[in-house]
Amino acid sequence: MKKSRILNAMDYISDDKITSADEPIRKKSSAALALTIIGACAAEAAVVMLISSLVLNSGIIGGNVSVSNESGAHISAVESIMSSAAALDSEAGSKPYESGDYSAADSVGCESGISSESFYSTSSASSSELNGGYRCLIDYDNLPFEYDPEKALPYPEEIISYVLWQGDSEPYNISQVSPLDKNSKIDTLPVFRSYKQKLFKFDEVLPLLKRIADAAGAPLTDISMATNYNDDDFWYDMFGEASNEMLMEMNAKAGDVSIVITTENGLIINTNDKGIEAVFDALNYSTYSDIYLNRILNGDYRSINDSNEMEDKLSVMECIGMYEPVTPQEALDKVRSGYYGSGPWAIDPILVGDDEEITEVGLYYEQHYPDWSEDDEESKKKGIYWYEIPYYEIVTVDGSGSRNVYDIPAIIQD
Amino acid sequence: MEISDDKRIVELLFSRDEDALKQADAKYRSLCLTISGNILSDEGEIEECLSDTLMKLWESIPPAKPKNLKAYISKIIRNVSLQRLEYNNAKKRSRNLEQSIEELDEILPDDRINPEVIDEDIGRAIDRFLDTLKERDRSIFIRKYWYLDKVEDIAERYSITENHVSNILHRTKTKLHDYLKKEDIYI
Repeated sequence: MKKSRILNAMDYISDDKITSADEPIRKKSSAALALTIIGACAAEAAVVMLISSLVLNSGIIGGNVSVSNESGAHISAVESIMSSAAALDSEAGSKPYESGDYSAADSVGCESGISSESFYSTSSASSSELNGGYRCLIDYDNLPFEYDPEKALPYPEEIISYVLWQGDSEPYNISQVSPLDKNSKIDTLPVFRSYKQKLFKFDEVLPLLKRIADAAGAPLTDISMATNYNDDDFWYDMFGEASNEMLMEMNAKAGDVSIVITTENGLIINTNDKGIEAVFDALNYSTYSDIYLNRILNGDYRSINDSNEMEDKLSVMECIGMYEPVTPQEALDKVRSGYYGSGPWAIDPILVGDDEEITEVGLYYEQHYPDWSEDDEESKKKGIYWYEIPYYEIVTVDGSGSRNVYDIPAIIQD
Repeated sequence: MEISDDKRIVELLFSRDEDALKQADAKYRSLCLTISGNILSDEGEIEECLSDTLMKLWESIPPAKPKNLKAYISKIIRNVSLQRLEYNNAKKRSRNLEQSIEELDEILPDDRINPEVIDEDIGRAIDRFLDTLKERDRSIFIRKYWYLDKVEDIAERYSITENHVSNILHRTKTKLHDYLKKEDIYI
């Protein structure tokens, strides 16, 4: 009958496939770990997840890089570095933020030293004072590292950003994703998009990722790439334990879109706001502009959806940079514990060195100054954009364990 | 090394050396018990199937000269176990097997509705379809529907969650369904 037909049919699967399916699975050892590119930037009233940010040149490679083993545990060294940097960040917090510091910044450079903690504590109250409608570029002439453009990796002037955008369509719409280009119009978010709108192919970026991984002592063995909505990893990792039915529903809605996401298994890359919309629709949010992740980070996720069901679905929190699905509370605890910083900005591990040697590993602090107030006419007059980067602060440790703090002034442009 | 072991076993079988069966048993016992255990639930019967498998190995080689001894012996134990299943009542059937069959039942053509499609056509189509999958997804499909592994075992094997395995299988089956339609193999 039909059962026997099924069993008989399966008998025609080729020998190679049968034996291949029984081959031992290559276990990732501590020496061959997956590279996870993660990061999170949850802005104050809307959410942008800066999945990764890479500064590409021979002197500095910045990026959200972490290394995890198959179970998601971190390499202790990296964890230690991150902890060290977090501690430094805390120390830096002794310098209080003074309102107006940054709005007063003019043509070049910014004061640095503001801590994430102090910034966080003041930003919500005085966001309008923090901005100036500036665009910021890294001042390559004043980098604390040797910088040789001749040796630079491709596109040395650019910062590659993997942005998972989730925000209101107005005024923080997709066209404003780039903080460095007021005129940027990003209809969709390609896989590797620089602030200068250059689309990077995966093959172009792969060497960089390999370098990062190698330098971190984790040979790049497991980068997976998803480029469309059909990818199992993406949907699974996005939703964790979500039901098949829900996933299928989302597939249907998503169409041929993609979304940037990362997982413990490697770099899973998709991108597109429609995909996000489909995702959020499936999660029963009214629209993806619900800025729910930010609310979650602030601990009031229940205000978004009163149903306890919400809690079950929030393995989506993984996408903000957790190594594994977590509950909202766990995510919140992690964020507040300083593991990823205590405020609405990305903390991006970086490597310092050149083509031959990476001498330091550290964190790349990209300070985001959000102003999300749509109704803030004063802000509008100032031409406020969704965030600015007055400076970059890099905290590293070298081989001897010494800590180094670099403040890289940004070039502020009107 | 492994291939040369297999070659040696086949050579011994050709020379009618019973040591071939000892070596085959030593090398493939665990695999065979797993496959059979996925189909049958009675340990005694599983052991008997292994014995039968070794016997069939002895009887079929020569003249058969399999290039892939692992697949060859896997198929034997699988078929022997399935035949044994025929004699059992439903209570003795592996729940795992029942579940796997039911899952595929949804997407494969019913021989009562579409009798002109022969099992081999379907099997060959499935085999071609599997070529289109990513290696891991293909292996997961085979582990589930050929080896008849439990989802939890597959999850452990690939270091992913059971739900992830289920998701992969779900989507793979959907793709297979579409593929068979394109191949004019309708349910």
